[in-house]
Amino acid sequence: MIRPLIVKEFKDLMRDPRIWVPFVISALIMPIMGLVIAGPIKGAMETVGEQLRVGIVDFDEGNESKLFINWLINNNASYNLIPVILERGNISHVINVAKEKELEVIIILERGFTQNILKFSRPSVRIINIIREISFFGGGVVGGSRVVNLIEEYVSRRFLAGTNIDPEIIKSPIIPKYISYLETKNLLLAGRPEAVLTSLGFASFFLPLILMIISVTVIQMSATSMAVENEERTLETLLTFPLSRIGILTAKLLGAFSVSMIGSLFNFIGFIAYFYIFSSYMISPIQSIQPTEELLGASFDISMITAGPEAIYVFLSIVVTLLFMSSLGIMVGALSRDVRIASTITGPLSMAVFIPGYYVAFASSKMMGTVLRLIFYVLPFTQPIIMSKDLVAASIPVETPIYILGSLIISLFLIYITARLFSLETLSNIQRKLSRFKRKKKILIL
Amino acid sequence: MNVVKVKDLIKYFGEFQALKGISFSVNEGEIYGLIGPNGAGKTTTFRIIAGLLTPSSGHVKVLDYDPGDRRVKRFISYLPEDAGAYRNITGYEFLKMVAELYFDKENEYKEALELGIELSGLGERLNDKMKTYSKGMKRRIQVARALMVKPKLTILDEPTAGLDVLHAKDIRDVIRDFARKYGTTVLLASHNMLEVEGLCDRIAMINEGRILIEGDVKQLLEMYDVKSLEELFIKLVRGEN
Repeated sequence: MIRPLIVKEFKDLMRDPRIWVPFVISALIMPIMGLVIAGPIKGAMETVGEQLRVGIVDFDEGNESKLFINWLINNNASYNLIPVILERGNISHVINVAKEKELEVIIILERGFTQNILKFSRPSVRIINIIREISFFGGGVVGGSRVVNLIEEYVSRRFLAGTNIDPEIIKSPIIPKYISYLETKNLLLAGRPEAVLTSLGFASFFLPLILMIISVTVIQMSATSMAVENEERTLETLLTFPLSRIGILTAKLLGAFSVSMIGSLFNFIGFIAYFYIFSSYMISPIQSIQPTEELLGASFDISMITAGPEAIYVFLSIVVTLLFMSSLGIMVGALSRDVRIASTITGPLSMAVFIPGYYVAFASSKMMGTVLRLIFYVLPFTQPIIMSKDLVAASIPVETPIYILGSLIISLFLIYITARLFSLETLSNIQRKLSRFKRKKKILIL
Repeated sequence: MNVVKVKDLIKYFGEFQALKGISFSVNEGEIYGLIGPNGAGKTTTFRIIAGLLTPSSGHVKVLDYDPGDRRVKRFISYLPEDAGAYRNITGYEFLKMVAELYFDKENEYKEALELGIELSGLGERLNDKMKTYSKGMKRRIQVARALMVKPKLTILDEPTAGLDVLHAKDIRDVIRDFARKYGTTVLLASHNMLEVEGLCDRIAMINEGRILIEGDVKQLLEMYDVKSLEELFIKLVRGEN
């Protein structure tokens, strides 16, 4: 009985491009997103097995520490690492040497290492992870974990020397004390690196993600606001008010911009709350640190990595990007006869933000390469995304003011183009041409 | 004095010729009607006069200015056909915004706002968001918006289209009374011949981008020996005797 009605509903929906275009876009976008994320995952997995440059500082200078160092040197090939013996010194000195020699992990054999092994007591070993770039996939933690496993294996064997007992039987034969050194931030963090780096890794993903969401929301909001003017036929009235076209456009832009700033503020409040809660629960208490090692014993806080002029650069970049997105949205809205058409167009445009955005969020700087990084830094829709990631995970380049200027120039150019479009004559001409193109395509299909 | 002068106006949209050489003029203080069926070219003509579109050829002068001249925008008010309303803005806020856009001096702006409130006739409903308004109420606020700035020329495109009899009459009364009281020149388009007959001093009948006839309503009816403009229009289009 209801078959004709079902057929009508189906035809009605399927013949409306505003309905099927988003489906097609989803089908096309998903594999692209997969490719975008798969690359960085593969890259992160490959680093796990890479050769590790390990520094060793012997504060113990006992027989057992020397035996351990010799064992490490003799077995370097089988463990795929390059051991480098470092002079004793305070932690700043050790880290400076490690930076020069491009080491990834430093083992500090503390005083009492030999004595503890001889007494079958767990020796303390300090592990310093040199983190050059924080990644969502936790790269950088792996090196430290590999080294700890290796020391545990050695100490277990020493404890069970002369027996046939499997060393696997001994659990936690050493007391590892972890320190992470964030090279780009020149920051020392005490505690298990996994907790710190997971927290920062999440932040290095979530901050760009929030900016992607804000960017897309701003396009949608300004496109809708402008499309409503077309749909409700208020644009025609607006254009007859005693204002210049650029005045009307500026009012529209500033309105959308102000609302997007408020929206962004809410997003950031949410992000800071998220980060605060996350770090409160995830970060281990600071372990006791010998004062002679001059290690700063500060608890981890987001402000430690985001304070200073870098945060101001990110803020400026967001302001320019919001201006760009508002202008883009207004252009889309002005060309759309109604809100649904505007939404259909903003869908693919959002992908222009999400696809490079996801790549930026997941890929390391090394993987991106210089040219791609430069492009991401100059384009307004990727600039705050890569900048916010670098703010957390690495460091913002010194040329950033030039990049912001570049983004501003692109944004102003877009505003100029939008202003040129902003007349009923031009808009109706473009809309008519688009309709004619659609009709021609329809005839060709038939 | 001619407030509007249109001569040999031609407008193409791509290959389609919407206007095929239209000429007419509107005197100061006059209510002038442009009547014709849908697609005749009324809205295109109005959009050109309002400076929203540029003519392909021909001349248009509004108060001796080109319609695109920014100075002329202060003296004209244009009400497009089916002009909607900002959904989340109250009627009062809308009128206030328009008054502020047109006038810098506080006394002038307040006077315009008071006039707008009076012309809208919406009373307390002005404090409600316009998305809650009926079509008739939206039209009333748009007419009030167009007239409150006391323009030298008011262009009203189908001001009563789609409204019920009572709302349509209210709007006609507002337009007529306002034009008489303030001596405003009104250029009005409608396909409702009866409405134009009762409201306009002079009319031009337009069909397929051409003016068929122009003149004083009474004189035209007498000249063609017809009882109504509708009868006259059919006679002209179909060539009936």
